[in-house]
Amino acid sequence: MKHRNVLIIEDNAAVVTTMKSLLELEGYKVYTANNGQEGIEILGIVPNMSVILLDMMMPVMNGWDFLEFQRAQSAYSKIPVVVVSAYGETAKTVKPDAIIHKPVKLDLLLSTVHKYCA
Amino acid sequence: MPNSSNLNSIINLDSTRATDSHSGVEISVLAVDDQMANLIALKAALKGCDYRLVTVSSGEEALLQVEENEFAAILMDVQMPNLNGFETASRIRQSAKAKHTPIIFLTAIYHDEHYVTKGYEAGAVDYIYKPLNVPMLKAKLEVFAELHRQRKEIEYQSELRKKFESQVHENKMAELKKNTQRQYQDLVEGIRNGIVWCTDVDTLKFTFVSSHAETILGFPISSWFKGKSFAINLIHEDDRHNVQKALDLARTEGIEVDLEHRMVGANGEVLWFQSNVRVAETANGKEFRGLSFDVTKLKNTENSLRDMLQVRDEFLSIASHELKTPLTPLQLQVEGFLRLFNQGRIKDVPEQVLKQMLETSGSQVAILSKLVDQLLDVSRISSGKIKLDLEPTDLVACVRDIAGLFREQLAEQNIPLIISHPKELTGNWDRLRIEQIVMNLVNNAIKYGAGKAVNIEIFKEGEVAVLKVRDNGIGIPKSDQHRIFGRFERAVSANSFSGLGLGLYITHEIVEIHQGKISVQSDLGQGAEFRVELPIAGPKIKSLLN
Repeated sequence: MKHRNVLIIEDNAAVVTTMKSLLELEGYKVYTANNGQEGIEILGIVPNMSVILLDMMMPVMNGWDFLEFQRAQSAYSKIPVVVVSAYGETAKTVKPDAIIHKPVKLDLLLSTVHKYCA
Repeated sequence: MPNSSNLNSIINLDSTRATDSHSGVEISVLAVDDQMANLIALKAALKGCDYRLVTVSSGEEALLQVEENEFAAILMDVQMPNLNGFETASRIRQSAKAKHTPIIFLTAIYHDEHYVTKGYEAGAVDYIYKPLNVPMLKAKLEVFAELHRQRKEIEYQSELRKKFESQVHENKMAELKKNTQRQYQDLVEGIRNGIVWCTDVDTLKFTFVSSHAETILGFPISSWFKGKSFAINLIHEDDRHNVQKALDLARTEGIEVDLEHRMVGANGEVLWFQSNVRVAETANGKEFRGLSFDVTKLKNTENSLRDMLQVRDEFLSIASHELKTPLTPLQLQVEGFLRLFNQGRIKDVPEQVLKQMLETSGSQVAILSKLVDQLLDVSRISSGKIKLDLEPTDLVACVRDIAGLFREQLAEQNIPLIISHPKELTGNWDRLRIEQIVMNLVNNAIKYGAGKAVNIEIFKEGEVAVLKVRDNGIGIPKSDQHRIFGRFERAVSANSFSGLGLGLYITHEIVEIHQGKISVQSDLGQGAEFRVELPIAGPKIKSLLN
């Protein structure tokens, strides 16, 4: 059985708490970070991350920079990344594993997270 | 015998010539006789008549005379050596000039019918028999002279009339030409926002410019015709290539070319023109003829419209992002509750989690309605429909109330808020709008304050209340300070800071309708200090209120 660890990197507190609550109700272990920088720190502490839900527009370190960094680090590069963004365009050079557009459909969110944790 | 020179002399019958008619033409009568005595007798007889008598002594001489001069009548002796009177008469009848001149034969003999008939056949109009009946001769000649005079007068008058008519015609044509020219000039000079011009095709030297060239571009008209490169220097250097191409096209293809280009005025001002140019043939070769309309105003409007559209598009993109952001948790929660409910799991959800989710939903709805309020405010400001509800309002109390709303957030982010204020500072303002000003400024100070202290200062300065809100954050570069109070503007990119970028615009507009002032002092990395001045008496002109 795979781990069911989810990392949410998102600066909007309401989005974070809502996604966290709903994913926890589905039995996932949820970690949260306010920006890319915090996300990297959590990856350093928590092993076996199943999937990362990544916002793009964030202060300090945005989603694009995080994705580029994560994909370059062999320790984290295999972790699937799902971009959750209001903008159509996402990554430039590095591609995420999936993209979910805001406003987010719960079914899509759950099925996507489920897919990467199965 | 008198010599022939005397015979050929012109006998002046009177010292005053017959010049009383309008024609001014002398009336002459020719006398032809080989007998000098007869001529002298004639001369004596016709003395005092108002025509002159030209005498010749042979038919040959008579023929020469009629070719050179015009006569009212010819008195012809019949019997002459060589060419007799009949022969002379028939030759005169063949002369183009004299064929209608009446000929009167003078004769002493030949009374018979045959002889008279011959005379008439030769072209005589009358016979006078010698010895001369002087009164009859005078009377007859007078008739012919008068006829001749009248004919000449008619000719003269008709000539005069022709001349006059052609003069009138010429005058009319000249007038018409002048009018047409004036009309064209009026048309050309009447084009106030355009320049009508002509240049040489090779040198591009101006040969004509309408007078508004000076008013539009500022160069005196005389300078347009000086110097070879005046026309080229007029054209904005970035447009010279295109203008040259257009001129070449007009010349080689013989077509009218329209183009848009810039020209630089005497004071260095750049103006936009729409020009139409073609090649025309003139007496001296070919020239370019053009009409250049000043479309600077139109172009500026077009550009500012384009800028406005771009700002609006950016705003719409930001606004839709901002509206979507609270929608994401809202939608997730609604769907989450429905899912739990449908699965019959809702009773298993811990109360604390439910409460938190509902609170989050509430706060998202509050954010949404705040965004909508902002949008409505902007629309009210744009249409001038914002209304002030003026009442005694204590600025200190407003600041305290708003600071209270931020207390939790400030504590959470560990941001000190220092307020220095008098006991109270009351003015005639719209309380809710003043709170909005404080709210926006404090919100910005926290948002862009990099977690450092925020200072608020309230004090009175004469008849004005001053509110200063200072943060110690990222600051605003000088180059951006002029636009931060504009609509949809923000000094930093939307990537790192959320919000519609309407806060300062709305704040600025509220201060303005209170007839106050707002300004900013800042530099990059040096924090920002916003200073609001509000007249304590409130806005003066009543008409602004409602």
